[in-house]
This record gives sequence, C-alpha cells and structure tokens, in this order.
Amino acid sequence: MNNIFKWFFGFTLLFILIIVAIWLSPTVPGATGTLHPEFKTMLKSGNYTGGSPAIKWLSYLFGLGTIGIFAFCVFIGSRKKDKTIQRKIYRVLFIGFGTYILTFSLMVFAHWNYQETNSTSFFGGFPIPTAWMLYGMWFVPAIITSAYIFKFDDWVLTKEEEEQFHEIVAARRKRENND
Amino acid sequence: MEEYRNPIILTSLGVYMLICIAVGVWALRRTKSTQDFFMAGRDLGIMVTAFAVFSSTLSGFGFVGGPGLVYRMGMSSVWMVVCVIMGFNISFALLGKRLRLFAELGESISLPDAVKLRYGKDSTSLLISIAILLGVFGYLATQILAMSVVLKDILVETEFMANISLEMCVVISCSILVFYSVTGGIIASVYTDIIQGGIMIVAATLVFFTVMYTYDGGFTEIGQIIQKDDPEAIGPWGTLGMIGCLSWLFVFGLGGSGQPHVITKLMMNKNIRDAKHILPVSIVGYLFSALLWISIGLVMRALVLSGRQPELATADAAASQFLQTYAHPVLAGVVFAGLFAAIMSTADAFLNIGTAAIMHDIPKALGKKVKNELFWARMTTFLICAVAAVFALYSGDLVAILGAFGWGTFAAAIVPAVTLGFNWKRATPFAANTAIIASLAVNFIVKLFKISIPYHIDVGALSLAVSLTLFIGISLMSKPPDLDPDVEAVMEM
Repeated sequence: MNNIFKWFFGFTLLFILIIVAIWLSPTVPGATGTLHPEFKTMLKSGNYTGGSPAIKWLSYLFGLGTIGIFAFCVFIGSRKKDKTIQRKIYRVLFIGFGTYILTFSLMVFAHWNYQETNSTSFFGGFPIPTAWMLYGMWFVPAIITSAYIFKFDDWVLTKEEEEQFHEIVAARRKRENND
Repeated sequence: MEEYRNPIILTSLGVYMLICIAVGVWALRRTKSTQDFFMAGRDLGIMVTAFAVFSSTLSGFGFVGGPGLVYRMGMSSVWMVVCVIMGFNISFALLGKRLRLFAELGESISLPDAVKLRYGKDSTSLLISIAILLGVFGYLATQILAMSVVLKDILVETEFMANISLEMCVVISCSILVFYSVTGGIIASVYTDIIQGGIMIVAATLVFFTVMYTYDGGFTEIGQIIQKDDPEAIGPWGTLGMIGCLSWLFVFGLGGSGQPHVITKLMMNKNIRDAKHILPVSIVGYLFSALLWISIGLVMRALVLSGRQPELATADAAASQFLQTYAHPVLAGVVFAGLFAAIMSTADAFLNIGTAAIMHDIPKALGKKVKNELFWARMTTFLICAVAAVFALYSGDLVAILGAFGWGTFAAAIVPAVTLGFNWKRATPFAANTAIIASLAVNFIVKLFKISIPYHIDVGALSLAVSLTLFIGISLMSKPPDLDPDVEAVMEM
C-alpha cells in the first residue's frame, strides 16, 4: 500500500526540482506581460517564454508534473483491497489521465505553432490552442467523473462495505454508552 | 425602462435579502443543537449539499475579480476555472466518501474534529484550526469589503442615499449576513446557498448570451478584436505566460480539496452514497456560474480595444460597467443579486467554520469544554463578523494580503494533512504538523518579505509543493502510527 506513496514522494521531489530549475534559469524579460501602451488597466504580452528554449521545455515539464500530481492523488483515492476491482478502476483512470495528458500536449504544441505561424484560424469562437484549452482541458476530466458516478456502487463504496461501516459505528456507540 | 434601472436593481437586492432573512427565521426552528448549528444534523439532501459545495467555492471573486482579471490579462485567469472538473474529481475521489465516514464515526461537528479522530493528536487539530482561522479572517474581511463596496456603488446612484458612507454599507450588508447565520447556523447557510446558487446560475447564463449578442460575430468577433491587438492575450496562456497559468492550474485544481468551507459540506449529507450525485450537480452548477467570469472579461476587453467603450477606471469595474451599460435593467438586477449571493454564500460558510474553530475546536484541543455551546456559538458568529468588518475597514494592506492568498494558505495547509492523510494509514501526526507549519511559513514569508518568484509562480503552488513533499517524506521515514482500530477499518474501505 505504501509503494504508490514512495513513487509519489519521488515525483513531488522531481516537481520541486523543476520549479528550482525554472527559478535558476535566466529570466526572459517581460515574459509575464507588460503594461498595455494605450490602456493602463490592461496588460499586453511581452517577450514570451518561447523565446528561451530551456524555459519552453521546462514549462511543458511543469505542466506534465502538475497533471502527474493530480493523477497520483486520484489513484490514491481510488485504491481498493480487492485487486481485481482495483485493476478495473486503474484501467479507467489510465484512459482518463492519458487523454488529459494528450490533450495538454496537443494544446501546447498547437500554441507553439500559433506563435510561429501567427495563425488566425478559429474553432468554436477561439484560436485553435485556446479551443484545445476550453473544450479539451476543461471537459476531458469528465471521463473520470463518469466512472465515479456510474461505478460508485462497485468501485467506490460497495454495499458490503457500507454494512460493515454501520456495524463498526454501532459497536463504537455501544462501547461509548457503556463507558 | 432605462430610467427604472436603479430601482429595479435595488428591488432585486431587497427581495433577495428578504428571502435570506426568511430562511434565517425558518432555520431557527430547526437548529436545536450544536450538531444542527455546525453540521446541519448531517441530514442534507443531494441538491442542498451540491449547491452548497459549488456556491461556497465560487465567491464574489468569481463575479468581480474574475472578469476583471480576464479583462486585464486575457485568458490567463481562465485556468482557475478550467481546472474545476479535475479539481472536483480529486476532492471527491479522496474525500467524497472518506470525510462523510469519519464524520459519522466520530460524530464530528467540524473538520478539526475529524482530524483529531484520524490522527489522535490534539496538536494536529489545533494547528488545522489555527490555519482555518487565519484564512477565515482574511477571506471573510475581503468578502465583507467587496459586498459593501458594491452596495455603496448602487446606493450612491439613488437620491435618498447619495452620500451613504462605506461604514454604513458594511453595517447594512453584515446585518443580513449575521442575522441568518446567527439564527439558523449552517442550516440557514446551506438553504440560502440553494437560492444563491440558483441565482448565480441564472444570472451567469443570461449574461453569457447577452455577451454573445453584443457583437454580431459573437465570440469569434470578440476573439478577433483581442487577437488583432495582442495574439497572446486570446491564446491559452493570456499575457501571464504558461508557467504562471500552470501554477494556477496546480493550486486551484488540487487546492480545491483543501478549502475547509467547501469540504466541510461533504460531512453533512444524509446518505453516504449521495456523493455520486453531488459531484455532477456541483460541477454543472459551477460551470454555468463560471460563464460570467469568462464572457464579461473578454467582451469588455474587446469593447475597450475597439473604442466602443472608454477605458475602465479599474479592471475590477469590468462586471459592473458591463451590467450598467450593456445589460437589460432586469438582468442587471438579477446579476447584482447573484453577486451578493456569491459573496454571502462564501461568507456564511467562513463564519460557520470560524465559529467552530473558536468555540469548539481550539478549546477542545486545549482540553477545555464550553458550556452552553449553542448560545456561545451564536455570540461568536456575531463577534467574528464584527471583527472581520472592522478588519476590512481599517486594516489596510493586511486584509488584502490575507485575502489574496487565502486559497493557497488553505490548500497548502490542509491538502497534505486531510486530503492525503485521510487516505493513508502510514501518515503521521508529526508529518501533518510539519506540513501545516511549513505551508504557513512559506506563504507568509514570501508575502511579507515580498520575495519575487520568477514567471509569477503562485506562492500557494510553491507552498503546496513543499508541504506535500514534507508530509509524504516525513511519514515514509517515520515509524507507522498506532491507529484506533475503527479508524483503521474505515480507512481501508
């Protein structure tokens, strides 16, 4: 049961290393936006991080690390004693997070292309990379939500577990009353 | 119709506030014990719990600060919303069932109560209570300030209250909030959440369609106007850039499971199995409400860039300017009521957990027992609101500092100890205590010493990464703790 936490610990250390690497990399001036020349209440993008290949790839790794931590958390919350059930749950979670990582990667690559080609193509009211973000990154996690909703009784809390829980509570109350 | 704009807005607000008072009176009859006052007797249905979860998550920030950020930075802040389905997935996978089981097993009436049951140590529940209190005062004060500023903006437009002071607006708005929170406790809070959540969904959906028809070409035209000025602003990372946005994805996605005013609601549902229905209803409610956040911010940026609208005085004026200039007066009235609903639903949740921390959790952790807890809980609710109101008016930058990193403070302090700790038998109280202290230290040091983190990595993301690593590392290196057999059995489910 502790193996997943050992892997998680290693992963969080790597995640912190990515943050340290970003911190130590030479800063790209104006990378987080500059004041808009005409409207002082707005910001305008400055030298985008794409200007530095190191930061460009570190940003991508930072994103993968974030999704990885999300995945570890959901896998931890979905562990079951029954290994057959656990395998079924993990299969769905692998599909869900695999699709999420793929969508994230496609969004990032679409954005790199957007910067290089100054593309003006729109999909669903937004530029292509933004459409990946709004329609992909936002809604792909619904795969995991569906599993939670439809398989709750088999995977999250079985009837036997619920009965066992009520027995534990009843026994505890009895002990407390006797004390 | 235009000449009636202000009376319509005032009437909408008045009706909304009267409903809140009526719910407070109704809930008074149902509140007979501290279990009722803090946990709604653990008797809530699916819709009530689901609406309470999503409306507490989306505070006034979503109606004022959110559109302001989109106006100012383009798509950057949308990441705070895009993470929501994943965020709710994480919360429910780790806590949807677990917290409810712990609440019933230990008859817990607060999150620190459940923490005490899990770790068996007063020190851990005390530290969680302190972290909650620190966040509560900052968050609550900012909510009260936001509510009062908006009320003042509306009232100064009338003839009979043109010179009303901010202090008087604080008194008016806090009176309603305190009334229903004191009389009905969490019962009033969650039932007003249904009304508040409903108003938020309706208001946001209507605003979304109004925005869509502001330009003939809809969102495509809005996007093209923004793109012409600055292609990155309408790109997925906005003007902030990829790293800053991803740090928001991290802290808002994972941090959602560490917001005490939200996850406490997962201890209140009547049936454990209701979690499977609460999750989708919460997600859908939040998604609809978030439409306002994105649409108003984008259209106001496009309107200013294309010269149809003069530049705003501040970015936060985006929502109110849009409503006053482009929305039908009735819609403006509904949305202003929705704004108050968003603020109040979060504020009453904070009042409740703050009161529990002062009246129940901290005395219990220190080995004291308060007599006549229900009476003192009501008095404490009033006092917390009064102190937060004074804090909001007179503490200057401190309220902004506490309010600004409230989410991150909660996330970094509570996610390791509660979200993970309730799912890992090996987690130790020492690891939980270290993680909580480290998270608060990182948050406060970075903010107070104004340490600049490159690429605008959110301080909450940094402290969450540190506290997670410390928590897991220390637990792995420590001797496995001795657990109460009942707790161990529940953690294996």
